[in-house]
Amino acid sequence: MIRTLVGKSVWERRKPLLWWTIGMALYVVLNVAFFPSLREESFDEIFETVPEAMLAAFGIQDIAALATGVGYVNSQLYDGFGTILVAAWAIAIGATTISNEEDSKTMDMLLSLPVERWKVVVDKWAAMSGLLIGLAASIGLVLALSNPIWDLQLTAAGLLWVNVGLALLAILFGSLALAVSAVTGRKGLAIGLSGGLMALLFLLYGLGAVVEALDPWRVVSPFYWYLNSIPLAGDVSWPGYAGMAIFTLAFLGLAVWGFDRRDVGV
Amino acid sequence: MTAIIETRGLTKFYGPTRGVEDLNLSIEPGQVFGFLGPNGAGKTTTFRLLMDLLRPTSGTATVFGLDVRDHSREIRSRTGFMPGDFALYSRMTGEQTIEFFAAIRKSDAVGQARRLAERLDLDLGVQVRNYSTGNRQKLGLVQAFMHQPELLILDEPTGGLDPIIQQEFYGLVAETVAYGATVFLSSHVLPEVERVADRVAVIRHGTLVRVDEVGAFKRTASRVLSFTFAQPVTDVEFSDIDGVTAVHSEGNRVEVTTTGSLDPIIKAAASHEVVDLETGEGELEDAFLSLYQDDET
Repeated sequence: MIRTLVGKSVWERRKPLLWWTIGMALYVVLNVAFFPSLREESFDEIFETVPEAMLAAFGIQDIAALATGVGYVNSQLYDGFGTILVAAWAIAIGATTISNEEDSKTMDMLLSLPVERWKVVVDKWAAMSGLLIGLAASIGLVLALSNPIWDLQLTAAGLLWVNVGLALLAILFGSLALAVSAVTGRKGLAIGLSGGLMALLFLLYGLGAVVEALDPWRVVSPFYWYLNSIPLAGDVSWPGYAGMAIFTLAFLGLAVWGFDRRDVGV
Repeated sequence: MTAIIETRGLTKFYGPTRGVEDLNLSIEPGQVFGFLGPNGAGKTTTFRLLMDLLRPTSGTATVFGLDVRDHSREIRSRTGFMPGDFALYSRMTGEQTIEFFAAIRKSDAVGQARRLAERLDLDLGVQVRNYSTGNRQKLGLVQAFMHQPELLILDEPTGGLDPIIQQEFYGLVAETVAYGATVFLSSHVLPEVERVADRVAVIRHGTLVRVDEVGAFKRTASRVLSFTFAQPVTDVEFSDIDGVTAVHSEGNRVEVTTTGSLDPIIKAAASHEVVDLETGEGELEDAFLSLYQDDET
């Protein structure tokens, strides 16, 4: 396992991966386990006192849709908190995978080995992507297993594409954080900037659905690219997915360039 | 013969702070080259420039005749490096560390690493975070020597090692040079450099003060002559003699420190009855300290 830089970088986060997987699985199961009983109630009654904008900010745009498995899972998980959590972990990995080694001085040792700096960045990016794909796949698997138990009526295509999108979105924000830390060497800045931007773009996507003035700006949000077409229902925005991939590669390029040009560990 | 390491006008500033300035070094193959200077003098900065961890503000450096920036990967594959104040992956065991490093080096060095660890009395089955400072240092040495590199760059290699292991280290350096490798090591432990190095560079405030053979440092090192006379001597002005840097007299005893010839001092003293004479061996440390004292005056 620890014979390559990718393997080592995954190995170092094997425990966080385990805990994130367990945590997200619990989150998913707790949510879907309430679905049958909530469906019996009227969602309208539950949410009638909550302002529309508040609901939108939490990913609930259509209360009637909550009565379907797709609508419920989408709002509880993908169109809201679940995606934010996964992207937050992505930012945590991206911001620290290089800067932790600089801070702890292991980077001097690593870069005394015959390995190019671009390869260090690319391998660490690949390890981060692998971890996030693993987490997204676990979430998909838990939902696939829950599907018959709680009669969610999710389709295989929907489950596949929504989790591909989840991984793409998380890798996008992780790559942004990686780029900031690679260029500047500062992990605090990388976390703050990427986390702040993520929150802003998520609010823009959510509030843009109900606040007319923000509506034209929704298209700049990767959350819009990912979620607006409702991939869990099998409707994928291919330009949106391509956009996430293109920006990810651009951030990776920026990270390689930034890390190659500067002093290490100063 | 081509120099193994050559720097020309090598300069590194961290913002306004000087790391090293206008460093001109040339290290011949097969030498043990000592780098002496107090903490913060620029030794670590020089090493990190050679390993391409830092980018020079101006000037150039070559290792094996190759530019340190353009050919860094090749240089690093042929070099063993032990950084000063280094860290290894704390969750890995010693064994995992050498396996990982050997794999990245694409080198079949694990067997050699195990032999080195045994020689340095290092248990490889322990996680790095549970190593003592000395054991961590040993693992640093193992990974630097294990692939039998042509060049070793060692930043303060013996800090934290007990005297027996230090002896092993000196033996290792001697064997490494015997198979043709070059060793560039820094220290502020002066007897160490005196013991292992052929040539010495002294650095202070980021600039080279002097580069010379160890023997030459010793020859110009100050010596101390302590005379005990039968009576107090007041009429001999030792301080007027060429090369004398200090004179202390106390009762019948006179202590003369010189970097010059001993002859005129002995002759001047001989005009009085000498009861006893002791001489202190010129130590590199004295030569070294006198360079710093020059700086302070």
